Amino acid sequence: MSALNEMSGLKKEPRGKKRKLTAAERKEELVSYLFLAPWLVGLAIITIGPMAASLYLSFTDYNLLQPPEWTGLDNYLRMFEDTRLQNSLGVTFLYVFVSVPLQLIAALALALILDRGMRGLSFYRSVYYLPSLLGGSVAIAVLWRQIFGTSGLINQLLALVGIEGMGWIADPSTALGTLMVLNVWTFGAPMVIFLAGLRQIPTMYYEAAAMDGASKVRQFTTITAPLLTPIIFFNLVLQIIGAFQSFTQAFVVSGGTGGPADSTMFFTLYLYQQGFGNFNMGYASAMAWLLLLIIAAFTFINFIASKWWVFYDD
Amino acid sequence: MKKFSRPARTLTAASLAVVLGLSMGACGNGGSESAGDGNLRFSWWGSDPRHEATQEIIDIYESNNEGVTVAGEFSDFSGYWDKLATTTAGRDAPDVITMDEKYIMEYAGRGALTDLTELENLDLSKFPEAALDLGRYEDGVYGLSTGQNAYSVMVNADLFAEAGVEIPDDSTWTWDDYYEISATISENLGEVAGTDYGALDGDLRIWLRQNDEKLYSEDEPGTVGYSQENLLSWFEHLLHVRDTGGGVSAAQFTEAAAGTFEAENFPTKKTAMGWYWSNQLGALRAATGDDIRILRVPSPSGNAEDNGMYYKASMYWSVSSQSDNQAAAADFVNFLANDPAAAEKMLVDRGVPANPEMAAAIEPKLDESQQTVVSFLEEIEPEVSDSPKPSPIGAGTVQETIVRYVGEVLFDNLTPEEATEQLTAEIEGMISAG
Repeated sequence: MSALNEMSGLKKEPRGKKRKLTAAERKEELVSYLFLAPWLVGLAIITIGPMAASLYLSFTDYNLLQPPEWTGLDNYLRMFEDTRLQNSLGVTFLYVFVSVPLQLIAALALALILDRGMRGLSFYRSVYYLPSLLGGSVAIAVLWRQIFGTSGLINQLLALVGIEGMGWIADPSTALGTLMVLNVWTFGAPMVIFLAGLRQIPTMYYEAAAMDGASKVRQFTTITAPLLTPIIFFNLVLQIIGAFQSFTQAFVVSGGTGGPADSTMFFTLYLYQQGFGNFNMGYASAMAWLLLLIIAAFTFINFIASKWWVFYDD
Repeated sequence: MKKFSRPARTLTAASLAVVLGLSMGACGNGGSESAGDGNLRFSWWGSDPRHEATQEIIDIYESNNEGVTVAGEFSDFSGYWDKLATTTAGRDAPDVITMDEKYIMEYAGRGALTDLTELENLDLSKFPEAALDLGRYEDGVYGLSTGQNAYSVMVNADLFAEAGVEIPDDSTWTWDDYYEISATISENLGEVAGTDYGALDGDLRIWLRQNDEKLYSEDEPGTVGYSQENLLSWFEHLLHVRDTGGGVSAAQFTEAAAGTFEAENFPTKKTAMGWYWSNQLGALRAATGDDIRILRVPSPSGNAEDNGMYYKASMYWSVSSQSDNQAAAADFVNFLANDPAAAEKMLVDRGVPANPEMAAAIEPKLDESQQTVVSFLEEIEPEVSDSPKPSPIGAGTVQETIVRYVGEVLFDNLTPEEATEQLTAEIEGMISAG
């Protein structure tokens, strides 16, 4: 509501004061709702409705075919004994904590290179952004299977230099690694945001620093890095949330099994298997809420921690 | 710079909402609105040749029945069950559903299917009682067997010849012969391994049956039907194949388990022997382009009567209890099950028809490999013992679970003892909930 008032009352009175709207303003407000309608309807039907339903279902035993039966906290208590669930949490955490930092480092490094105003910048920017658009797709996951397969591209290249390859996606010790590489490869989206952030740093800082004889490294650590922290923070929050929800890659690369030996069993994949494979939709709903809480907790911690390291230049 | 902090904050709320896109717990709206208008929906799984043949069958049925339309819905096996679960939960299931022995109890037991004996338009009289029993749940018949299958060993005769190994006499071969042949082929061919292990639930069933046990207990629902030592010996048997060099690598095994039929080790000629259902002979010949033969499974004693082989209903025709079109659905199933015009298009792709009249009707139309399958099933008839009942409620993903444990054992992540204990606990956890 406050956002709406803000919008319709933008040009005139100071905010916060209640007063009667003129006919024109009321009409304007109505129109604003009209424009919001598609999003509001979507929010209610596609997000809020299923959310409420899944919260209810998480307290029930629901097999999809028969009406749900209320079981209280059973689903949540069951998680404490479910070793596969705990394993899937471990896999997911490992994936998030390794692949997100690597991805952001790659994105920042590329952004710094591209920021030097090279020729054909927009071309390179598009090229590097491409994997972000494709990375979550089924087609790329299928391609990944081929590249890292026993007789795939990687092993053929290794064979050229006389190294005998291995079944990268079929071996439990390397399968998750291939998915991490896939995630790191989709660095384009954070890279574009980093680029925009770099462009916003006033050049006068660098000019002043150069005049004082600061080296490039020094310029990076004392100007670029601090001024970029809000962007780093933004990307970090976004990528962590995204990584926790990863599903498609593991689903396609492991053929929906989370294998080999549960080594790519992401939390979301286990949730899917429980809900649609084992008909435990009540349990799957409880898992979805656990994931929500985990992501909310991480986002919260991120925001708290940001006070110590994120620097707003104003 | 400030402008990034605000989006970041609203982002939190927005992204939390996005997370819940995942929690699709309740996608149950919609419903079958067309009330008895003769528009049927029919679902099945399979590969391209089956889709084409089935579409031809639908065309014949539609031209015979003015005003009736049949819309086909098909996918691969694993996607099929996800979709069926969601459409059924949304009360929007297809009218005629192809069922599998792993799921029929699940759906019948939970009221999603119709008792076929109560449908007037469907004539079950031509079906032997044993075939009907395979679809029985409590007092009703909820699935009509499309045809029979047997689990068997497929051998690639071309690779055998290349390795200089003779194809064994399958009425007398033992597990020791199997180990020896596997190891010799691996040794002589290098790149090609002897066997793909055979590590699905079908293989485990065979192993247990050879020891007079079953995968699921039929007397005590919700429990397994085997003793620990026989599951343990199965894992040890697989390790023996690995350690004598007769099998593919553990990585190749798990890679194939995650892939499609065409990418498995036997169809891609990475092994000379593979464990498959009899109706897959034609598809395997097509995939390899080689001379594939079908053999009985090995036995401990060398006596084929002890090999534990059994007939399985390849698939079932079922009618949804949610259908508003049950009379029309029954008529369509009747066409599929009792009309030679349908049988001649289907041939043995869904198993050798359980209706003897249909089996006779298609006989002249069969090509060489289809003929081989039919005579193979006839040959083993004196030896096969009673068929296992369909898997209990909750057993839908037991096959994937077994394969996962085999992977763990082949990679030495678990000892056979640990795998035995954990697999049993997991299976019982699945089937006891039903």
